[in-house]
Amino acid sequence: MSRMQWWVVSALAGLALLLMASSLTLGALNRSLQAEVGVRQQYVQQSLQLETLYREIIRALAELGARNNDDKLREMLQRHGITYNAAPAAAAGAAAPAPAAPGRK
Amino acid sequence: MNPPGVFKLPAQRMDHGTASGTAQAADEHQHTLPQDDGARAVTGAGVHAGGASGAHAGGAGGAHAEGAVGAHAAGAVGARTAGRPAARSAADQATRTAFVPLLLMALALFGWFGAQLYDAYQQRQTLLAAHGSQQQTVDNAGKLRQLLDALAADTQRLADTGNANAALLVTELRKRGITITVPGAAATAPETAVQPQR
Repeated sequence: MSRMQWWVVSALAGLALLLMASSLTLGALNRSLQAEVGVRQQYVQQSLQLETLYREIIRALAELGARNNDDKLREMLQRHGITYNAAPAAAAGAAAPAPAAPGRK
Repeated sequence: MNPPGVFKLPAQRMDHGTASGTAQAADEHQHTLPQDDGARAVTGAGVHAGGASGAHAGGAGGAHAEGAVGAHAAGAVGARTAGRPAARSAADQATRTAFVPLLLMALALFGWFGAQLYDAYQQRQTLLAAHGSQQQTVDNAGKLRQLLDALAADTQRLADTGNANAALLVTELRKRGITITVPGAAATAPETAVQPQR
């Protein structure tokens, strides 16, 4: 093997080694990033369920506040940017609250 | 050099011992030469046999000389034909170095790891795009959780002050497996005020 051939083979082998190290490093980074993406996706999925709960709580508080004319409850909801109008009395006592869309502060 | 068939001598005039001895000497000498130099082996066998034939020619006459020369020729040709494969293999061995297989192996490794790196890079770009697209949704989800936590905490505080409606809501939520923990009131303050029970 001549000197030139030795250098060619050595350079290619060194590049292959460099590529292998880069591939391993990038693979490890990808696994970490994929795990983070999975955690964030799970966080979003749980938040969707909590959004349903949030809307149900607001609806229930508005119904109770309107039905029983609870000023404290109304004030508390107003602090969170939520207002509602009491149903007309013709509704046979059944409160039909029409809570406004939750206002985000 | 004449081929061996040219020298056809009568059997009774042929000194087999001398001829065969000369040929054997040539063969033995050729065998002692290094195998990787075939051309030199042929030349050496011819010179050695020629010297033997000359000695016999001077001492025993023409018949011996011819027989010896025939033996010399046969020995030389035999040595030459035996040396050809060795010379060829030596020449092939001289040209067959480790460069080509090493080059092929290095190229194969280079290509394999290059392809792996390209795939990993593509996968990383896809993951980064997915991570970026999640950001707005994650931010909105965080805000929603903060709103829910604040509302639940205020409801719990209102229930603790004796508000019947708030207490009813907290009770109903607890029946559904949802407990509200006020961060300021709990010894161990969790991050989320609303904790669904499982």
